[in-house]
Amino acid sequence: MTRYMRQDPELTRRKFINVAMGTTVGVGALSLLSIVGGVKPADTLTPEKRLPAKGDVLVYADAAKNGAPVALADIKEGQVVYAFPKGKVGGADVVKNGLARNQLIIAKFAEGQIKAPTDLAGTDQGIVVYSRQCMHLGCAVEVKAYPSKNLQEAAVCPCHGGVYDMTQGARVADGPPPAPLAQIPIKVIGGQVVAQGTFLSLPYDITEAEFASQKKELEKA
Amino acid sequence: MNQWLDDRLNISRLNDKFLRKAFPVHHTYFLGEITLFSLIVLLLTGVFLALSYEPSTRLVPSFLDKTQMVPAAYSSILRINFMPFGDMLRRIHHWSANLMVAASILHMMRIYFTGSFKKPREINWWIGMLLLVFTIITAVTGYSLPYDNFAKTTLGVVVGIVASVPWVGDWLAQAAFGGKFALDNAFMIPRVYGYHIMLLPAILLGLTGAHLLIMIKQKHTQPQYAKRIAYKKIVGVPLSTQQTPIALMLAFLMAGIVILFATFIPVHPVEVFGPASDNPVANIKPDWYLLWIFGILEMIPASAKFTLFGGEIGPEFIGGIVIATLTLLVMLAVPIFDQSKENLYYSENPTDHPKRLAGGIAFFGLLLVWSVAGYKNDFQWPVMPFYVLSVVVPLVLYFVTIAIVRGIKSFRAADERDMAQGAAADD
Repeated sequence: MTRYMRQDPELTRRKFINVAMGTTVGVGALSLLSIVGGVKPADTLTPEKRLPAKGDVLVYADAAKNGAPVALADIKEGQVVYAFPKGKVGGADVVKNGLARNQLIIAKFAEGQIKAPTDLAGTDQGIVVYSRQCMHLGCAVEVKAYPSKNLQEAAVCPCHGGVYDMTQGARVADGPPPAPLAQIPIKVIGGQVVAQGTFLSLPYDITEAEFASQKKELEKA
Repeated sequence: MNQWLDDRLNISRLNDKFLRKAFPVHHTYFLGEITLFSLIVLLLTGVFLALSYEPSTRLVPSFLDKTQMVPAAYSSILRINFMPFGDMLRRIHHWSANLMVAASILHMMRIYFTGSFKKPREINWWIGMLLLVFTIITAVTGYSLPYDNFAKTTLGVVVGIVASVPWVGDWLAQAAFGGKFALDNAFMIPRVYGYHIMLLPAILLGLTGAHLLIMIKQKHTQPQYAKRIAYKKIVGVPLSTQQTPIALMLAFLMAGIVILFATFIPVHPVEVFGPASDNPVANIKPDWYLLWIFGILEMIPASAKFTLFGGEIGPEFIGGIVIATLTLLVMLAVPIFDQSKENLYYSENPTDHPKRLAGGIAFFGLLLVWSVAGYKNDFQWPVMPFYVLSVVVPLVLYFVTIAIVRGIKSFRAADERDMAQGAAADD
């Protein structure tokens, strides 16, 4: 018989260590989570990244042309012009070339060639304007003939072969893009191509919520 | 000297445990070593490239033409090209990366076809698969860094694929690449640089260490000839000293070939693509080991999209992530299909396991079909034949392989019969 009965402590050593370590890991994981949460920078919408708006004049995307408005004489059938919208943001004239989706294709087709689902009210003198950014994974599309789908002038993505029929609202004629290119309604005013509003459908790399809120801001301005 | 070190570090124990490790001598057993040597060459050349590279999208006057404003990353690559051995370092780095991927795939094929992934080596198969995946991710982040128009297009596609994940994709892409993809995104190139020179190499080195330690612990599978020489005994040359000169010779031979390639075949000439811009790159293709995913992306039709619990699942997610993940899962699952309870000692003759052999060949046939589909756009091929080929080619390869193996078997059996008859006639 021992004289001293061994008393069970309230908390065993093992349990204490497990609880202490568990707490440490928990707190550590939480702080790590907050750090990971902070790696996404806040969205900053600089003026040149804004959506095209009503009244924006389309200017040459070619840097050599120094942002001059696209001349009507350059817009011919079978030959497209690439452009950026240029308009007032907060009182100053800005060429909105900060995002690839703002680079636009200006194409011209003969009378009666453009059909629905193109927004026909948004075309003028056979001129139709689309975003140049492919809806699949955001590469810039090229405009060329695509004989296997009987298209004289199609927007073709060099990345994964998305093909858009520009006479029919840039519907997807072949390949993987989940949606047509976004059209911009335009009017020819005083020899310049002027946007009559922003993209008619959701362009690439913007959520519906962001698109809605940016459109609302445009309407306010 | 040895005594002095031994007294302090007990190296004789290290010697017994690791340096006397027996390496089987067989030409297919060098593929893993070549992968390791490529990694070492990549680390060495990478250090020198990192010393002169500037990870920034800030616009600066171009190194070649001061009137032109280009991203600093691009300009620093032009400067590296003009440094002594600069272009050479870039080329060696690039070729070694290609070699590392190629050697690891061949290494994996050897392990698969000889059944070396079987118990007890399943863990090392999985680690090896992770190594292959991370090697490819490292390679892609690497060729995004020069920030020429090719790199920018590649990055755009990678960001787009990440962003296509339903529910979380948009946040994920912005967190990983520092905001929305844009030419002037100041965070993007530093992030990719951080992944390429710190995070991913650390992962690669850690996994490589685990891979090698497990290999030493479990020992190599023995080639078939070892069975004839000394049954159930380990046949091979010890790392110190006999294997070392063999490995060194192999390393120098490999380095020599890489340097020859680098000398005569330029890689990724950034001046051809020009600095990052909004213009398209004609006929853009990823490196060869990603061509199969590229092909899948071209094959998935526009109609493959639906909404699930509020998340958009589109052709870019299915093509870029779902099918690629399923393919990798099939590869990861390889050891699970094996039912053997015994530990494997000897590498198996592939023709003794015709189903496994045929399955592997069919699998690579499928990847080849998808890779060819990557050229669909250039030739305006219709997509339908590729769906048919994706089924037909693997099936044909499977049954043709089984038939060939049967043929070999019957020849071998006939041979043995003849030999036996001959021997009987001699008696």
